[in-house]
Amino acid sequence: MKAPLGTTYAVLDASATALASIIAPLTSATLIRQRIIFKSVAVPRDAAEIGSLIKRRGVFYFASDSDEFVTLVEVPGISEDMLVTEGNGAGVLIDLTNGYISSLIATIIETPITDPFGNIMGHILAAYRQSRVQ
Amino acid sequence: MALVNQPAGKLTIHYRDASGSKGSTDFHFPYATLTSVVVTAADLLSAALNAVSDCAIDGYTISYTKTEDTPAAPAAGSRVEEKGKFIYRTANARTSLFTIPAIVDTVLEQNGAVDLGNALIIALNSAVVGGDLVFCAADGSDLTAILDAYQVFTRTTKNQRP
Repeated sequence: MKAPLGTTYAVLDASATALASIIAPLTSATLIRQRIIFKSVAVPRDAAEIGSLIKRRGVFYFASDSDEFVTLVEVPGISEDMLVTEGNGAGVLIDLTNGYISSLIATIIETPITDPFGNIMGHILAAYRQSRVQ
Repeated sequence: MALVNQPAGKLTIHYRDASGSKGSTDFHFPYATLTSVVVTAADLLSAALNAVSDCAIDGYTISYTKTEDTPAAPAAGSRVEEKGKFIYRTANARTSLFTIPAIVDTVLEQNGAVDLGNALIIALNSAVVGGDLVFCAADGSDLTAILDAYQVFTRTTKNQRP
């Protein structure tokens, strides 16, 4: 089902609950899940960089303040410019001192980003380019 | 028996590379977070991610999921491939449809049409058209009247085998 732009979650949830109760006697199947989705689409669509590859991923491990919970953030098509160029991790480690990377990390920590269980992430643990078949 | 929300909602950022292949980044946020707050965060994250990825960002989706904690057993022999297809007229003279999986036989006529005079179907149409529910067509136009409703069968996938 679709809903008008600007409809709040609370209104959608109420309508979904009402619709589910009306549909229940019309089906011999069982309701198991309800999902409310808000979509945003880029207009116009930008062109990807020449040579960009979805499979060339950067992975960022974040941990809660207590280090008890850890979660992973994957960035497809990580730019080569974001990698360390010298030392043991050259070409693999993501340069955490890069301005764009530190800005991304700060944004993730400052926004209400959690792991799938709702635990707030407090700091970065590690970040590197993930090896994938290309 | 109740629908209970998951601990966190999900924000998915969508990417496209030079070959047209698609990818995504998933984030989670506390379920009680207002959508407007998540939209602000998504805009910030999209901009920050755009600066570190060679891919183009096509948009994002924000989803809130509830699951039934103790689902009832479905009726014996029920098949989700057997659907009731409901087609509605819209305020801008187009049509919009939705389907109900495993439609019960008691609301069907012998020729496969949905019995629009059935009390359960009248209640459904009243709710959909009458303004009790917020739903509309994909272009935002109101659903104004039922146009047609009938039984359809979709292809059975491997996972749908009995």
